[in-house]
Amino acid sequence: MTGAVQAYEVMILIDPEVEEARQEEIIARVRDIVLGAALALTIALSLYLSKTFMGRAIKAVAQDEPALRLMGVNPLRVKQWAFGLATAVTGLAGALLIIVGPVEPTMDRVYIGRTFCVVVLAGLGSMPGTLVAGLILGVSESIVLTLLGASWAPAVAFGLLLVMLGIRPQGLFGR
Amino acid sequence: MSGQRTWGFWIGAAAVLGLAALAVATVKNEYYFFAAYVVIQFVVLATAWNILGGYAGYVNFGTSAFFGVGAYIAIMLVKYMALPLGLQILAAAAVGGALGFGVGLLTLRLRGIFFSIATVAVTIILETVVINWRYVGGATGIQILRPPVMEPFDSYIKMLFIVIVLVAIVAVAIARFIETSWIGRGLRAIRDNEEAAECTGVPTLRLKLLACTISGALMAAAGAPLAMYQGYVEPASSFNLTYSVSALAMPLIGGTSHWIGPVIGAMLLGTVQQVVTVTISNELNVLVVGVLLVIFVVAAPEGIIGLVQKLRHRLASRKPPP
Amino acid sequence: MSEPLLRIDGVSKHFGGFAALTEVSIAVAPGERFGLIGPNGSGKTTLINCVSGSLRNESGTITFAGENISKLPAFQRTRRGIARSFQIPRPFTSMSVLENLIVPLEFVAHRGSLHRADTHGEAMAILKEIGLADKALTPSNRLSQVELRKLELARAMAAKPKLLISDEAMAGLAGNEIGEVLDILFKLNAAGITIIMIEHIMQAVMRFSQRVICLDAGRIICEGTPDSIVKNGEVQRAYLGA
Repeated sequence: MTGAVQAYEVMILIDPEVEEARQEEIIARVRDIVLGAALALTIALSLYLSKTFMGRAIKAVAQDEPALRLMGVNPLRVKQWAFGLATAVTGLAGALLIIVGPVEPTMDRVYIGRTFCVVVLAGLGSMPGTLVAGLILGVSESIVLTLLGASWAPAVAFGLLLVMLGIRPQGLFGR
Repeated sequence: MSGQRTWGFWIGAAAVLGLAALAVATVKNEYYFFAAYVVIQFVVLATAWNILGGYAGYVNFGTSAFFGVGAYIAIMLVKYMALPLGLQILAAAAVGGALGFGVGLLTLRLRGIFFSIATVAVTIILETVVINWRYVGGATGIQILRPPVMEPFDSYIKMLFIVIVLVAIVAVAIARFIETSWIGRGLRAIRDNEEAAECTGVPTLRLKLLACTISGALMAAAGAPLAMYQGYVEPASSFNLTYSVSALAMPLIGGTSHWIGPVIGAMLLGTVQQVVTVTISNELNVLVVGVLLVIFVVAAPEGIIGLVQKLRHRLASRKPPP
Repeated sequence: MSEPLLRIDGVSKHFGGFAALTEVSIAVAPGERFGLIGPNGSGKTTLINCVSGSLRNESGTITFAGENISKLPAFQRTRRGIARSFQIPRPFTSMSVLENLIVPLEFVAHRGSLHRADTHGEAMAILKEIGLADKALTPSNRLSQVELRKLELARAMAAKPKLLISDEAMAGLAGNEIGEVLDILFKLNAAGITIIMIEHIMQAVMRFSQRVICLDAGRIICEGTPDSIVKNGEVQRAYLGA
């Protein structure tokens, strides 16, 4: 084995036989589906966290672990479940992502920034906040992309994050 | 801090320097010095990280930023002002310290996870700024022609090796001083219970800022000779997040409570990394760090120091009473 | 009274929509033994947090020895002479009992003259006074509940305070242990330290305090001597409900 590494890009292609106008229609339709799925997922998660026992236990374990223990819930199990759930949802998000654009192994940096940014902007624990924050981030990145070019794009997410941590650490919707 | 221990430390340090000088005089294969340089460089980074991360408990992911800044300052000083290496290191340390202070002001009011996230943010933003700044070479970086080697060394890498050993000795000495002084006690109080520390009269923000400044200065000082080692700097490699991860993993593996921990961790992990790079591949390096980090965090959170202490206790309790 | 040592004027504190403290005003005289009682959740610890600096009050002022300390960070307040113990003990877990005391000795009592100070000896003296001398080298995460509470008090004492706030130091202790802690507090007061005691154990509060204030839902509902407080209808209602 030599020391070479290649980052393979994975993406979904439309059959080149299909005519262009139809191609654009397909892309637009697919993007709508992705948006719809993302919204549905967010709402589902939000409902899960507020309406089900396990969901509320997840919120509780962050606020007051000893009290949770006193209620007969094993905090370790709750945390394990939350970790698993988070990873599963992230996996789903990744699956949706690949429909929208190419994916390659070195993308992690970009998405760490974006994820932290959205979470901090929204404020911990606020699901509707994440939608608003995601919107703000997306728009900001597009603006920066247009005005300053692609080389500045990675800094947008982290920049917004730092600014928010500086002026309002609990985020826009946090408690 | 007992005077006897201090003498012991400096004798040990002199011995290390002597050993290094001996190696330089006798070992012919230059490859060893290239590898050893990297390992010792990590000793500096791990020790520096541990001052804020281990003693105070503030996990800093920004090592790459300070390291990269040190490398860039050094190379610009060489290119535009032909300054000698010693001055480069001092200048890099000064800038690193200032950056540490600034970053600290910005982020140290945040607790726990937010602080760590903020340090990642600073690193990426810094890297992006450098990529977009033509004066410092943008995405392609800066290249230099190495100046001729100084007497009495016969090769550049041997000189750099001695330099980095000196920097390491200084770094460890500083860490040891902090650890055994009232500063170290204050930092430990902060790490154990920041609110109680504040109410017991510990100026938490000031001490954290001090730790962050010194930490940053040392990390930048470690980065300065890199410019000479490589002959170039460029954003992607100089600000590579692997430095942050390694600087964090090594103290965690070695043990964060004592200055010897980062040294052990760096020598161990650094050597493993070099071996892996040579025998398998460069990319597998990061995997090794990750795996070792996970193993140690789960099985031995106090690091190798902790394991040794546990062993000592077990041996002591097995001894029959006198 | 002559110039109060601690004066709390119209202090309010909210957490989101919840009003933890509303317009609380208290004056504590130097050398006084002051009791603060109230049912759980009435805001006692919040008030103490505002005085010690762990929390910032949104309105009102806090004056200590004539100086407005409302904007000072906690460690400055400690250096000016306010020490507190925590309701749930917060020892420095990586340190021994002795070392826990060396922290305030180094950072408060001997700030200017550290090189001349015998912090070790002083810490041992305090431990002897409080009855923890034989545990001096024990790691603080291996103490019993009583010992932890004594350590909390000892650590506050090591800061050589003018005002000591004891936050439920006796909760969960047995009869003779309560007596031990009470004796220590009396001794400290006799040496000139003003003491504010927050407690649920009524006999302790009544025995100890010269003046008592009762809080309920963030407001002062009663103030006076221990005897008058006990008989006060509002206080009884606050504790017993109805």
